[in-house]
Amino acid sequence: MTALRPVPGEVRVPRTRPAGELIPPDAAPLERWPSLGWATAGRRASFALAAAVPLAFLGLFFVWPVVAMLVRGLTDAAGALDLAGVADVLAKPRTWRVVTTTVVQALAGTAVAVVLGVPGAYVLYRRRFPGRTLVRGLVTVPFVLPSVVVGVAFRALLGPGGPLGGLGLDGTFAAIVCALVFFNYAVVVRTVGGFWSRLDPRAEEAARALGASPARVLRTVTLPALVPAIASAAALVFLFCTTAFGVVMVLGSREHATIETEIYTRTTQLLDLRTAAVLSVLQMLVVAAALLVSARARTARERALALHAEPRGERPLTWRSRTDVLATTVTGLVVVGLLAWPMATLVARSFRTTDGTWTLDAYRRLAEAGPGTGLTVTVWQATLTSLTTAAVAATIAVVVGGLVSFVVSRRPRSRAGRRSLAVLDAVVMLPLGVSAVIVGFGLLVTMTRPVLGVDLRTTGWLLPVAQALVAVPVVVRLLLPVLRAVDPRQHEAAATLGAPPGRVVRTVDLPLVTRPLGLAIGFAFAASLGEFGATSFLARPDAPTLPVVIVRLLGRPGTENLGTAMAAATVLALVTAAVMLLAERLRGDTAGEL
Amino acid sequence: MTTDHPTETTMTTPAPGGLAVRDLVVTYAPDARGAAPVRAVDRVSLDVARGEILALLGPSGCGKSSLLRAVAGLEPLADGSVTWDGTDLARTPVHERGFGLMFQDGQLFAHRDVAGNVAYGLEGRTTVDGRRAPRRTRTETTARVDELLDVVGLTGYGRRAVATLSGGERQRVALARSLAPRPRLLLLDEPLSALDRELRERLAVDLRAALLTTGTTAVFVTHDQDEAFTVADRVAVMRAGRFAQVGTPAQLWAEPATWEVASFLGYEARLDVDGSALALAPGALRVVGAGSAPGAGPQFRGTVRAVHVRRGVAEATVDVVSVGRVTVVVGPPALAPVPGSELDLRLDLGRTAPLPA
Repeated sequence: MTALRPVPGEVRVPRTRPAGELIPPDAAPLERWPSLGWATAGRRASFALAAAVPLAFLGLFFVWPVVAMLVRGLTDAAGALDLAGVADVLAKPRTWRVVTTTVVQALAGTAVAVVLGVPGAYVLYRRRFPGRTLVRGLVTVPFVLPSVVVGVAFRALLGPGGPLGGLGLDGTFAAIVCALVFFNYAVVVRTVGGFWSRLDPRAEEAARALGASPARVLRTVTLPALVPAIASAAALVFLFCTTAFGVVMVLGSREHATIETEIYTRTTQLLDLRTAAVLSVLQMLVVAAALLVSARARTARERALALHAEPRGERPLTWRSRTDVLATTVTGLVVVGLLAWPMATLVARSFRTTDGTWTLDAYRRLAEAGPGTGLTVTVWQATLTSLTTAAVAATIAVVVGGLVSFVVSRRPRSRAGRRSLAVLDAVVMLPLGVSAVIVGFGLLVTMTRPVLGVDLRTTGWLLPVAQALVAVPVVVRLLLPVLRAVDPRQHEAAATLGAPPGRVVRTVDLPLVTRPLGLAIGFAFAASLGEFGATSFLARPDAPTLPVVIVRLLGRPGTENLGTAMAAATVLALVTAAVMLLAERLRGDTAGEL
Repeated sequence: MTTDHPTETTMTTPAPGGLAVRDLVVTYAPDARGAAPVRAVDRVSLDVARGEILALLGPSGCGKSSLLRAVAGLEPLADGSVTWDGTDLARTPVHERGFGLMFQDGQLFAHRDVAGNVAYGLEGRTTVDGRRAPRRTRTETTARVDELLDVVGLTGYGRRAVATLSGGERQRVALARSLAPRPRLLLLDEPLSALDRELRERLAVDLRAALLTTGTTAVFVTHDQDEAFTVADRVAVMRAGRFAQVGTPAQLWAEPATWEVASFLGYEARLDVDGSALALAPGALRVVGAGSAPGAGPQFRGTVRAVHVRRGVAEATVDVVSVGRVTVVVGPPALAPVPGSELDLRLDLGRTAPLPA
């Protein structure tokens, strides 16, 4: 889905077995527990409830709407599967052009992000230098920025009147790829970097001692060890590129239509649900392929044994090493040229008119609504709507995502139990791979009846619910690794000290989760704030969110509206940055990797 | 292995109080599909009287930890029962058993300081065996924490962060934490194995002292016979999921039930004489000559294979015909024989134990 930002940096350290015993601690005893006392029964009931809430949420607000949309698009009037219609869509050259554009764009974005990101991971996670924390933070900013803001920033840079306006890159394939890399650079840097920093340096030292040159060590020892992490990051980047919506909407013209934007055009402008449904299925297939690769890489990654829980082998950056100089140059160019420049241009242009005079006019217009702007509300009102909606959405996402993480992190003894947890884990990730536009439109057509006595459409609950769907996978990816990393013997130690199950969760798991929980709230808030795909359908015309207003302004003629859009995008970027900053604070003083 | 000595595989005397384990079985699902399930603990019975310290001694993978975890309620029983004072604990969840468990690596809570860790079992309402314990006041908790830190020799460490402690200090904190709620039974899972030798030997003595001071009934798992003999009143030697022999350290050392037990306890060679067998401890064969009384005991001739100095005393590894490879204490390093030379040896019966035929 569109506004979802990747959550990189998750590195699973293989669980160690307690020494001295042949039998692995997670081997499941065959027999059932001999008895089912009341305490156990109560525990099972609360466990089932914890699993049921997220499942019901996803079933009602995600699976049902998506299935309803697909059924509408793929069946004829009689309700039978309309294979002829499907074949019809598949026979259209435009369908395949759109699919090809999507895949090529995503592949290009992924390749560039990896090529630039690996040196970045080296400099930021394997070398020490003053200000490294700051640069790490700077690199992270892009992936929490709303896609619409990024689109506007790149237009500010590449469009007419921009510093690079003369290159004629505006609206080209290259511009879109640049923007995709801008978003996903941090995914590669943090995923690969987190893994790299935990890689045992002694294998490299052994190779050096055997007479290998630094280049040969890199080629024969380090890169092969990193392959799983790189593959995993690449699959994630590919996934995000495939489903990118806001960026492509803002930057791309019709010739660069991707599956996601084409679904949007088909549903909203042409009411061609059949094509939309077919495209949606094609998109799911592409995403499924990417996830499959990702899962494989992940398994391989967990097999990689030479990992340490603590970062090791960090050295100060030195100008004597050719590798260091090269990697630092590349990273510096990326950080300044690709990450900082578009954002700086956006901010600068929001303060200037086309003839170059500095002015606050654009910001004054943020308080204006009217026929000239095509807006029914002021930008400030939209900001308020965005904030309140995102707050509700983040709350829902943290509750649902927290429950999912808790349930999935348990280690049931039965094979069936473990398998159902794996399924739940996968289901929660589904919103990543399904068109946000389909979800938004699906919610609109299915939520026609009140849920639990509340009419979600008229009361405005539908929008935060849809945004929460996007944020749940983020929350789960942040909380789950932490909960999974808790040694089960910590729970056992607490239990043998007399702590009932509830107290074990409260005193063992919760204190460890508070740190990522703050971050998860921030990410969920940022993801909701920037969500555009589903929001474009569900925001009520009288209460649009900030991204919707920005896109509306961009669609209006006139340089004044463009300036206002840039000012509004700056505001959105600042609000997002403020939220993330606050979340970093919530994280407490014991800073971790993410 | 154990079938020859059925009387020693189980301890069937009914205990007046304390822990009683009967015919306990713990199984694990096999790693591969279709493989036979693994029986980690195979029909073991065991009694531990109140105030007694029992060691479960055995090599890695013999099932001793599984047995301990089953008693704690952390592993489901495939068969058999665990009772305390005659009450079956099958329906009692882990946190209501009143059994403490100390792990090999301590498993301290990193987000709590030393005092916070020790106080963990004192906070909140604890239920033992269906009876709810009254909530402790803050003063009571603090006093108990200080008392326990005294017992383990860490007076004044309360505010220290767990991460700043050494390995030995961590295990002391873990011990204090386990003892604080006054468990009716303390289970210790290789509590000293992660430490280096010198520290381990010192802590073993401290551990026994702490258990005696607090009057704690304990079951102690270890693979180190010296540790078991130092800490425990009684030792159960475990092999392949069963008890090979149970007895006091002196009994085990004097009368090992089988050659296997003897070799696990540290006997290094077996000598068959006139239909009976002897287990030879290191040093059971002595060099004939300087400083040894002549006469008594059979004599042997052996070839020196290697010589090494341990704590200032030379020891020779000697191959003796019909006995095998043994360690012979030679004396000052200056007197050490050359490898390849031959030694006349005499048996010191005080360093041997009879083996059942």
